[in-house]
Amino acid sequence: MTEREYNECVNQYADNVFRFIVKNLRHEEDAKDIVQTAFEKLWRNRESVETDKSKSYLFTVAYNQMIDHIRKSKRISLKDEFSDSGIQHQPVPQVKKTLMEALNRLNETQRSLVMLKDYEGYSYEEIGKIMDLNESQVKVYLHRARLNLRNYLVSSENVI
Amino acid sequence: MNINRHNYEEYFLLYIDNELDVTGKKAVETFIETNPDLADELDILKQACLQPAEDKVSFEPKKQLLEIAGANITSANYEEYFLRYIDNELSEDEKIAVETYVLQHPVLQDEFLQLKQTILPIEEIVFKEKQLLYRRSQPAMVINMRWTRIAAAAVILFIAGSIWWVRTDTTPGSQKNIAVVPSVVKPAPASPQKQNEVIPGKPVVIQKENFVTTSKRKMSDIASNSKSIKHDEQFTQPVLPEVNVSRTVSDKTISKGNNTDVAKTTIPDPTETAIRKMIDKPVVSEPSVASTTVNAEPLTQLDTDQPQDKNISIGGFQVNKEKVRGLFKRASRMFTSKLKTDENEEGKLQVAAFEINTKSK
Repeated sequence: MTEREYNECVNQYADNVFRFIVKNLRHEEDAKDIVQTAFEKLWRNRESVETDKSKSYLFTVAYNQMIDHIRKSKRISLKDEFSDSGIQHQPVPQVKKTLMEALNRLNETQRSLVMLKDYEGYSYEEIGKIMDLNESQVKVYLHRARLNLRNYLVSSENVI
Repeated sequence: MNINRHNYEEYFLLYIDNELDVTGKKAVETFIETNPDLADELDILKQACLQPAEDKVSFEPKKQLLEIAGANITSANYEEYFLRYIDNELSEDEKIAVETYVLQHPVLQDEFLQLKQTILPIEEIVFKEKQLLYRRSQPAMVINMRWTRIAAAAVILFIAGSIWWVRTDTTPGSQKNIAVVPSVVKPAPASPQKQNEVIPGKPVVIQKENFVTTSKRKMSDIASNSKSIKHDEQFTQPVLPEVNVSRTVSDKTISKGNNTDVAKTTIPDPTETAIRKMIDKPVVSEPSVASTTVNAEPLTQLDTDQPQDKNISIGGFQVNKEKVRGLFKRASRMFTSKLKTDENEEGKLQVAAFEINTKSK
């Protein structure tokens, strides 16, 4: 990977990685640190990382960093609302708000699975490589997460 | 085949197990006709055999298994298909099959729509500080040292060495000439009456104010050339009149108990005769004129030394020292600025075949 390709990766994937991490951690500064760490690692290993694999590499590094961070600090368990740092500028529709609430109720594995699938469009196999799971586990965990989201949406107090 | 009443049972078992050929079966049936009392025993053995037609068992889930293998959507597996449809993990044919199935089963449409609502809508979150992530790698800068540059460096080194040698050789002499200046420039501060007092028949006291005003320019020149040079006990010839004049005053000032610099000045004995000769010379009685004439002599002599200090002799050439120093400073500045701009990211500067690490680890 050349310097130009690396900087192109910054333009293309920095927002995606940051969204993936910040919606998991719900803490902007920590998410920025993780994104910087991921890109720093990509820069250091740019000689060995192929350009077309750079996105998966970034997500893999960022996910592992995030898991380490969650293990070290239990900040995520202390926050219920994703309301910090003005990331959401526009009024959120009720459906989306309810869905975000449901998403925040998932554990980090299920939440990461849903986001990697819906935001990034990764396949079961690719998600498995990023999260170090096999394809069957991804499928089972993701379907379980979907049904949890569905059940929250159709529950009596959250009828859309 | 010989069937009799002693071995018929074995043939009856072979008969019901269908292990006899056609000839054997006919022989068994002929034996039963000739011995009708044994027909019941054959019937009992026939009834002991299991009949598959009567115990027909069907595997109900068998159909379901076949449907999964054939990717057909049923009421048992539709949720699996719905979820894979949402995850975009189905082929185009399977997607069409799911959509068809949903249309055919209106009861499941709500469930299908509910699952579709669990897809996260795209949310744009911008990482604003991308500047922190950009990187720029610089290749190692190589400065080509051609022979002309090497020759220029050698010349500069030679000039610098010559300057050093000349300076170390000439500095003591210049100190001798300039060392007297402070004693002339800084006469003892006398009281106003003493400054204006003129002793008849004796040399005039040099007034500090007059000296400063008349020779300010020369003083500045002296100061610039001899900043570090202070009092020197080895007096030279040009300053003798000054010392002589001040000594005449010192007789009076000392007697009055005033401690002044002039009074402290000691005059070496070997010059005593020369001083007397200078006293015998006519001195202008006007104080202001006397100060200018007396001071002009040493200052003029100091001034004449300056061109000699500025020039140095290098290999028979007279080179201006200031110009050489300026050239040397300019070269060092250029090299320093080049060094700063050529440092690569790793803090290494390559000069020809050498690489210099300019960052401390």
